[in-house]
Amino acid sequence: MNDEFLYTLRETPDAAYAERLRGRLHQLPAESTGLRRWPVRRVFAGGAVVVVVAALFSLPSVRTSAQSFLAMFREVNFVAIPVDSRLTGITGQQLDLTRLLGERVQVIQDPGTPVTVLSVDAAAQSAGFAVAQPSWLPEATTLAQVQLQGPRVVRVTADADRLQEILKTLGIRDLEVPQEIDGQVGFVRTSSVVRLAYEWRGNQAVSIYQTPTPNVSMPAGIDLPRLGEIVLRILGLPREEARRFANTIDWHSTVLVPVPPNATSFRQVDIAGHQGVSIETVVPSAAGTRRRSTLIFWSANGRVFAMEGSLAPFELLQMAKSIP
Amino acid sequence: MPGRLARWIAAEPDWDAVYAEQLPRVFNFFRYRFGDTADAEDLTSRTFEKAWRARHRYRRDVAAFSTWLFAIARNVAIDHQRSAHALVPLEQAANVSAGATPEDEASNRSDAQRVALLMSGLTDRDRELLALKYGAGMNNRAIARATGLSESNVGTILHRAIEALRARW
Repeated sequence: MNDEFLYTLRETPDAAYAERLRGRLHQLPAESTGLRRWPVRRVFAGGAVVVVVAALFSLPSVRTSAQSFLAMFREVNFVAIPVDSRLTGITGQQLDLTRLLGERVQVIQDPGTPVTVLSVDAAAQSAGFAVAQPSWLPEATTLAQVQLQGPRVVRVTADADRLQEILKTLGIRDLEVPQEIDGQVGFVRTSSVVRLAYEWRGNQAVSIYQTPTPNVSMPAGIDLPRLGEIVLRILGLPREEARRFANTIDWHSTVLVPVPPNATSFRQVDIAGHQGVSIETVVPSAAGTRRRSTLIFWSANGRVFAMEGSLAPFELLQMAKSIP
Repeated sequence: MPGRLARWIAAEPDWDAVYAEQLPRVFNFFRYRFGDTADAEDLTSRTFEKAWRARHRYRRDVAAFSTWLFAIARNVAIDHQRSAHALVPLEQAANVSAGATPEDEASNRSDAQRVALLMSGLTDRDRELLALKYGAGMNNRAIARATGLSESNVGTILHRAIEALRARW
């Protein structure tokens, strides 16, 4: 390792990013008058835009995150939990709850495939709730498509033996799954989901999903901290951390977002006063290159939002914060 | 103050040229500093936004433009460090649970990732100086001016930091 080697690690900023930042600076209000405006010349960034291919409708991990666990109240907090790679060895990278719990998860009402609707108003009318839109968009970003997916009802039947088996497979031998939960039935009811798809210069760039906060019903008397501790251990938290966290968290208003091992980073974010989670992943593209994708979850005003996009994280955050 | 000098001081730089020249330097400063491209883009954007908004305050008779810009970048980096500590408590738990040292993890990564991981074991000051040197492309004299250290001190710290990285490589 020497000077030359350390200099070779430099990278050229992504051309699409540089172009967007330049445009954004141009839009910023000046602090004082009489100053020159930003030169209008632009860097041509044709073909540099990466295309979002993953969608919430078909992403089991997101679907699981949004529906699972204990979202009972009008507003929920999202908390990111890094997932142990041993767990993805069992469930696959997508952390599919169905693969984890087998036939114990049953879809009672199938939402069907997403359908494209003509307008945001039409989506709102069909979905039965007011669809919120961002008041701020990055330059050259436009709403390109509105989709709607129907309500979903899932029944989850607790299986103490299955959970104990999972703990054993993961090498967790100090936790006993309470037998009294065996056979208990819970329901997760999700209303219609509306997807707003935005394009940046003709390329799909951002998707915003929204739905009223899912309703989760569980039998009375469930020891939530104890069950939560089991879930946290399965996800990969160390024993002491899981116990401490399980006993301090408000399980009635918290949704855990599993962060898969292939995520490059995650953080808690503030979306206009609501606690959310931002997760960055890098995934291979069809062209053989790698592209970055950012997922943001938050809840506000009785609705759960998920945003996925290939724009810069600060742009996605600004879009999210502009949603009323 | 003579009129021509006052106009020269107050004149703005050529922003188009400044952007083209400084964007890669600021971006790589953050990449070397924090080892994450997504963070680097975010922090670079914040730096340029702050600079753009405050451009009328820049005085070319006080400092070179790049010196002024990197003073902003360094403050952005400090803010980022503070907020990262405050916002990601569970990430630390995840790191604890991983059980692997930076050296262990580094052995499986690309060169850039390996260097980033190994740099995470250095002090904040060492990382900042390495980022200014190799990310921003500053020489030791410019780094000394930016940080308030003496030029010889900068050289010594960089030498030791590189030795520490080399030993773990």
